Amino acid sequence: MNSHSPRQERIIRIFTPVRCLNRDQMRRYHLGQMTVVEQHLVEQHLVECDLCNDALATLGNPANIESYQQLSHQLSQYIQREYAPAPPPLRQQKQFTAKPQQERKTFADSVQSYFWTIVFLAFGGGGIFLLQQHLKNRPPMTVMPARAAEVVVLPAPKGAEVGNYQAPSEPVQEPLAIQTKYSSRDTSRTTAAVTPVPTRDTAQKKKIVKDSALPKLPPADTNTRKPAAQAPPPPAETPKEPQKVPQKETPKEKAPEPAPVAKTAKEEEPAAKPANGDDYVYRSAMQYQQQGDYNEAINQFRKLSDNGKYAERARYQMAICYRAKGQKGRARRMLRDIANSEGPMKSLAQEELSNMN
Amino acid sequence: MHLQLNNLSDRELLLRFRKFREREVAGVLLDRYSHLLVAVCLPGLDERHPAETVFPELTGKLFDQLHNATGKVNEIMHGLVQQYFGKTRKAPPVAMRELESRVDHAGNNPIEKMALAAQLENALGRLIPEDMDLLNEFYLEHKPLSELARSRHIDSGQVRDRLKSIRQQVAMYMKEAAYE
Repeated sequence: MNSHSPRQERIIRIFTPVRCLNRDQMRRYHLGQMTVVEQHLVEQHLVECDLCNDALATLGNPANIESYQQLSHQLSQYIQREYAPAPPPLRQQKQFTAKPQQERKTFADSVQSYFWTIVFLAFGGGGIFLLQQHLKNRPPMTVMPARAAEVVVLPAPKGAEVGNYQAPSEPVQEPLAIQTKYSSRDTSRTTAAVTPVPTRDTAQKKKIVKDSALPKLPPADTNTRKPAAQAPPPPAETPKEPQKVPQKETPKEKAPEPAPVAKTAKEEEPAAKPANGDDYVYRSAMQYQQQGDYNEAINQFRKLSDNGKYAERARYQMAICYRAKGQKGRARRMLRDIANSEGPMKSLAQEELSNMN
Repeated sequence: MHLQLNNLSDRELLLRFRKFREREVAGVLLDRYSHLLVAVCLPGLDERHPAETVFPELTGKLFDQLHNATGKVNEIMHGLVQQYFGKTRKAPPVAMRELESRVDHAGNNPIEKMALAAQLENALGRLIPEDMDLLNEFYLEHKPLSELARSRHIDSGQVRDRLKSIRQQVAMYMKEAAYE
């Protein structure tokens, strides 16, 4: 407080708030140890502060000074103890109380992680199951070449892939030719007679001999048939081949019967047209039949035997397969059913029945 | 932390306490005024009001009131003590609080200070001459209360009460001038 300061400053300081007295100021005010300026500041504050004025009035009585000092010290300690900044026991208690929350949180996290793990495993297992079902039910040959010709020439199968069809000591050199066009029995045998003849089927031996004695028809206009037509096998060699093969093949091995072929008008559609599922199944069944896997071929034909355009042909091929397996009674019944019906395979069935009789 | 809080003013501590609800801040405030609390309560302590119960209760009530009470801490504390011991106390007028807040906000702004000083001169001009002389001698000439009391043959307490009423009267004049 400078008394020489401008009047404006001093007028404003009339209403300038001053802080309350601290312990030291109170003690020095009573002892008269303050400077004039500091004393005036205290008195200026006393004018506006009732608390400090009452406190100084109380301490004006010397009898209160001792109790004041004692109680003031105790109250200060009490406040510092009561409002201490997070004492260690409280911290430990907070930590102890916070621990279950952390455990609860970790438990919730673990439950959530377990849930997502189970969901992931369920989806993964379901996907694997669906994939297995798809692989189990899909057709054996997912991609079939479009039938551009009457005969599809497959590469020569290896011993492991062919299974019991081929003797291990005698690898097949010639590629397999699948007949895709069913015209007549004679033309099919010219193309599909590459498979060996079974050992103990004497009836088939006879039939093969008969077939080989038949005059060969001129080859079709496809490329695969031209080599066969240009170099037809001599008639005398045809019966020799079945005679050689039974000597080397095991008794269990069964040579596939040359599949008689039926030609329909529907199959003369352009090759660019995509084949449907029945077509795939039929072709795969034919391939199994050509490879000598008659059981699988019968299974595939049975899928088609109920309905569809391949129903009658499938039944006919099933009868052929049963005959090749040696179940002639069953084959005869099936051929008789086909012969009694008015389907396109009637004549072929009657011919096969007559051959079997 | 405790030392840093001790350097803060009452207003900053109150704002911090109302914002963060820190007991430590309230402890600093209560410790700052604990000696005044003891001195004010000392005449009222007796067998019905022992110190072991009075001070914990008062500090607890103060802690609760600091949450949402307005005004200065010393006024809150003095009002609480008077209420606790059954005494009546007149609350400080709102005009005085507004004028002190305005002076505080003027700070170092010279334009605001000049305007405020001119308004104060006008309000002081409305005082009676005796009050104007007393105000000039105490606030402008820095005479102590004891000397003023001796010259007027009255108690220093009476001089203090007279000065207080003059301040409140000036504050009322300032408020009236603001409305005009």
